Amino acid sequence: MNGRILQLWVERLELDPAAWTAGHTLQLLMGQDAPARVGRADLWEIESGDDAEDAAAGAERHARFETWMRTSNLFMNPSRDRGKLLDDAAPESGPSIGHVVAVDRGASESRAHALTLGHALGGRWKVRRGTVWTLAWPVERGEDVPTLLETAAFAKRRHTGLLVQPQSQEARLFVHAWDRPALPAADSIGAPAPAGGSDGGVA
Amino acid sequence: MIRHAAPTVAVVRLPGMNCEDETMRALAAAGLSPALVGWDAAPAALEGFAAYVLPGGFSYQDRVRAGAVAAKDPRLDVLAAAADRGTPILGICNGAQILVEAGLVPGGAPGEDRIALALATNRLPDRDGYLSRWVTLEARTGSLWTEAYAPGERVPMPMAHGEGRFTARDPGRLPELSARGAVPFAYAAARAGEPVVWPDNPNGSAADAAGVTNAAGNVLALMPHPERADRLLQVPLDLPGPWGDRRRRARGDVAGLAAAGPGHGLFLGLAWHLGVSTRERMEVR
Repeated sequence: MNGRILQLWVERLELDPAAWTAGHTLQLLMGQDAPARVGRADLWEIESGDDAEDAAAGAERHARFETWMRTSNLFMNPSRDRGKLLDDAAPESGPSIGHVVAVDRGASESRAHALTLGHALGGRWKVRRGTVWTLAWPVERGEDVPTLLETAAFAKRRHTGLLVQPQSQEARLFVHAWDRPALPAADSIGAPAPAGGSDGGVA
Repeated sequence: MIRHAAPTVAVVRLPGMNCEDETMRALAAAGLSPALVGWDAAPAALEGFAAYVLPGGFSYQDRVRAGAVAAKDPRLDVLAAAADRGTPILGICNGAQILVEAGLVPGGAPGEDRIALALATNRLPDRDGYLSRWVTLEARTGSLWTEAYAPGERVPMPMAHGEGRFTARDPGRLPELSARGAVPFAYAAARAGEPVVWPDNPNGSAADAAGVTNAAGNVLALMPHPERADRLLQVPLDLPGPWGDRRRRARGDVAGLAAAGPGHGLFLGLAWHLGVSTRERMEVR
């Protein structure tokens, strides 16, 4: 885990229409293997450019960012969204819950957000964004979840997969696990898939 | 005299599409008989048409990704079977996104449903996302969709999309398709021979691709909107070049403004392919 990276999880206060439609479409595609529940969130990974790092400085930066973030409207609309800074775990976890973390290849970094943060809090920042799909199956399907998650995730064919377009996106899959950073690293146009395959493999 | 009925073209409307009316008018102006088939009709209602058009809009609110949910609609299986038989299928903007997400473009062997391209978020110099403007396309020979245009003709059309950048995991994929003649419409500089730079290529599409076909050439995914350039009246008064000149000359001329616009050639090419004998050419010099 990289302590210099803050992970901000932003999701809708009310039902997310994209998540609802994704869940319905996956039922159409996967039948009884479809997830029982689908959620969606934006994941922002905010990295401080400070070279010297200690626990106290990290905690102080964490607190300043959280205070500022909740009043700035830069990362979330407080009338519509709720935001949570993650503490080395996704908000939901369990053996039958999987996360698909996706970024648009070559377009996950936001210089505009980084510059605004620098103006507001000082220092240099790097900001990346992606989407997290949270898929939950019944507990008794726990052993199947890694396979089912991969099937649901990658739109490689018309009749299978939905959430990630491997031709233009990179993704990482997590089952009962999390990482910081969680966003896929490969971010250049046409970048080859990293070892282990960013359109396959489950953490 | 025996008059043959015009070939009937299905305009397939899925929830959230919004360009079906002007698409039907453009088809009718080319001598074709358009028929609207909605999402409430059974997939079997799509059988037997001479051609199909998926119009523009925002199917399923672009949820997940533009075209991704519509691509899973069972109606796409009917269209895929028709594509394998050589039936012309045109997807405009959101329709193009659906064809790509459904694997009909660039397609593969009959029955193959592999997705081999993407229409990703536009990449602009200062930001990513939606852009609406008139662009210039180069109409390339060898396609039924460009048959009514002169070789290499510059065709102005409006584009309006947020996810229209043709891309593939393999960076050589789009250049290869272009070399194979599967890119009948490419973003181009207004004058032949000039380099293509932004905003000529308005979204960062690989190989400057504005429209890509399957290997047989009968299925076209086109991001700009020919139906919004079907009549001269739709051409902006300040558009540079010969089509703009023609538009300015027609100012106040009601009949002249109803004449064919630059996008009409695409529908005319389809009509010729289906045996409609109008032999009007689209070239403007």
